[in-house]
Amino acid sequence: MDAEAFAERLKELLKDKVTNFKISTTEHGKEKRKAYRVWADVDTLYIKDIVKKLFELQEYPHFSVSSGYDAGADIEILLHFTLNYAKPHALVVFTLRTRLPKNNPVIETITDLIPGAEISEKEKREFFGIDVKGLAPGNVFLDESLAGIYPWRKDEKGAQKIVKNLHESDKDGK
Amino acid sequence: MANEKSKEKVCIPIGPVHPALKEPIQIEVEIQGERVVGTNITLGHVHRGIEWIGTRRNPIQTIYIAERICGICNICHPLAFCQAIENAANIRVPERAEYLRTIYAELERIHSHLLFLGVAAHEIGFDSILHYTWLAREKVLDVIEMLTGNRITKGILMIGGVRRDISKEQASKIREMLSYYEKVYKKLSKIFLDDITIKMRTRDIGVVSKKDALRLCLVGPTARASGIKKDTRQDFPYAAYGDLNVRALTPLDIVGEIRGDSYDRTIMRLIEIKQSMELIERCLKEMPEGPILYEQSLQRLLLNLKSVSGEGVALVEAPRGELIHYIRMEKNDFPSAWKVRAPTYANLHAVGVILNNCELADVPIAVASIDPCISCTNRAVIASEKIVLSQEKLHELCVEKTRAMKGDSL
Repeated sequence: MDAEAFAERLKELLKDKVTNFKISTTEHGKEKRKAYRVWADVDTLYIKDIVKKLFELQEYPHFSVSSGYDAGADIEILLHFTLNYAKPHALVVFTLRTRLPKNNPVIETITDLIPGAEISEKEKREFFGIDVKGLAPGNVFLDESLAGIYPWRKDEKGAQKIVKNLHESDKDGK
Repeated sequence: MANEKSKEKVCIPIGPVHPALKEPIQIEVEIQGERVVGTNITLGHVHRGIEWIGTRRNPIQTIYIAERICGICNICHPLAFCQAIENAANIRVPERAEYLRTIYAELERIHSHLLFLGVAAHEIGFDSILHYTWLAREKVLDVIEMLTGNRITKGILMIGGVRRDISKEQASKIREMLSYYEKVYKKLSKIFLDDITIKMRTRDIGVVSKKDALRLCLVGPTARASGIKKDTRQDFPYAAYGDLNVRALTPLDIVGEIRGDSYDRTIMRLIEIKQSMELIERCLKEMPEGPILYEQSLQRLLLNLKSVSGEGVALVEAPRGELIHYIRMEKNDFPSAWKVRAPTYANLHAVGVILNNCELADVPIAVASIDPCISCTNRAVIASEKIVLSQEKLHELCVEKTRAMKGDSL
C-alpha cells in the first residue's frame, strides 16, 4: 500500500474518534516524490483506542516519540508515529494530539501496547508533571531533587527557578 | 560457600561516565556470578535544555544550537530542524540544495560509522583496528573541512537550503576520497568479515530478536541488524533520497543470515559505509544545476518566518537511525515548541534485552554495538565497599576474554 492509500485508510479507520484530521504533503527531489504527514486531534479518553486501532493497520506500529506544549490552561501532548514503514516511499508520519487540563493532567500509558514508549512517557511525566496511569515508576532524565519543577511548563512550575543567567553575572562583575 | 557466593546478586553501576560509553548515562547492571540478570538505565546527566534554549532564539540562531546537540551528528540535527521549519512554513527547498544536503549527510554517516568500527574494535582489545579506522576517518573529516570550513560544527545548513555550493574542484576531491575509501572498505571487509577475533567476541552476544526490535521501536542499523528493513532514506522521500531509490540493507545482504547479535550490528555499519559512498557518487553525477537557497536575504527569511503560524515534523536517517524533530511556530520571533528525538533515545530500550544473560566481560562491546552516542572519561565503578571495578579493570576483563578465546581457538 502506498503512502496516499495508507493515509486514506487511516482516515477511514479513525474518523469516528478523531477530529481535525489533516493529510499534508511536501515534495522533494527532481522526481518530486511526496512525503506524507497526517495530523489528528483526539479526546484523551480515546488515546488508547486509537493506538489499538493502529494495530489493525500494521502488526507493529512504530512509536517515534511524544512531544508536548504548554498551551496555558492545558498541556498538549502529541504522539508521533511512523507508520507503513519498511517500504519504499510509503511511510506516513502520524501525529495524534490530545489536550490535558493543567488542573488534572492525567493520561493512560500505552506502554502495555508499545513497550518502546516508556522513556518518552517518563520524559513527559518529568518535564510536564503529567500523571501517566500504569507507567512504571522512576525517573529517567531529571534528578529527584527537582521534584515539583517541570522545565517545559511556561507557568510558575516551569524552569525559571533553576535558570542561571550567567551573562547577567558577568555584567555585574560577579 | 563458593556456590552461595556465586548466587549472590551484585549491582554494578556503569557510568554516568565510563570508557565503554561515549555520553554520560548510567546503566546499573545486576549480575549473578558472571551473568547479567537485570539492567536499569538513568539518563539526563548532561541534559542541557537544548529545546528550552531553542525556544528562546530565532529559528536561524537555533540551527547552530541544533548543531551542538551532538558532536558527530551535526548535519542530521540541523537538517531535521530546518526541514521541520520548512514544513511549518511551506518552504520548498531548491533541488540542488536537496542533493547537497544528501552529500553532507552521507559524508557524516561515513565518518560516524568509521568512528564506531574503531570503538567496537577497541572494546574487544583490537586496538590496531581502532587506529586504522580512525586514521581512515581523517580523510572524510578533511573533505568535510574543505567543503564547509570546519570538521565538526559545520554551519552549512540554512532554512530553505544550504549555505555553500560544491565546486567542480571540490567534487573531484570528493571523488578522490571515494577512491581512497574503496581500498579502506576492502581492507575493513577482510578484517570484519574474515578475521576470527571480531566474530568470536560478538557472534551470538546481545541478541535482539526481530519481534523485540519491533516491540521496542528500535531504529537504524540496530533495528536493521535484527532484520527490520526500516530506513528513513528508503521509506520517506526527504532531501534527494526519493530520487536515489535507497534500499534498506540488513546483514542478509553481506553474510547471508540475520542473527540480531553484536556482530550483525557491527557489520551493518561496515556495509552502510559502502552504501554511503555509492550515494555520494550518484549525487555528484545526478545533481541538477540551480540555486541553493530558497531565500538569499536572511533578514527577509526571518521576517517571513515571523509571520508563520503552524507546525512541522521532520524525519532524517541519522547514522544511528531515525531522527525526528517537531516544531511549532506562532507568529513570533521564536518557535513556541521544539522537540528532538535522537535515535539513541529509542535504541536505549534495547539495552536490557542485549545485556540479559551476557557475561560481564561482554558488557562493553554489547552496549557499544548499538553505537550509543556517549562520551568517555576516567572513572571508578564501585559495586560495594569490597568490590571496586575501575574502567581499566572492566576493559581489561574484556580484553582478557578475547585473548583467552584466541588461545582456545589456536
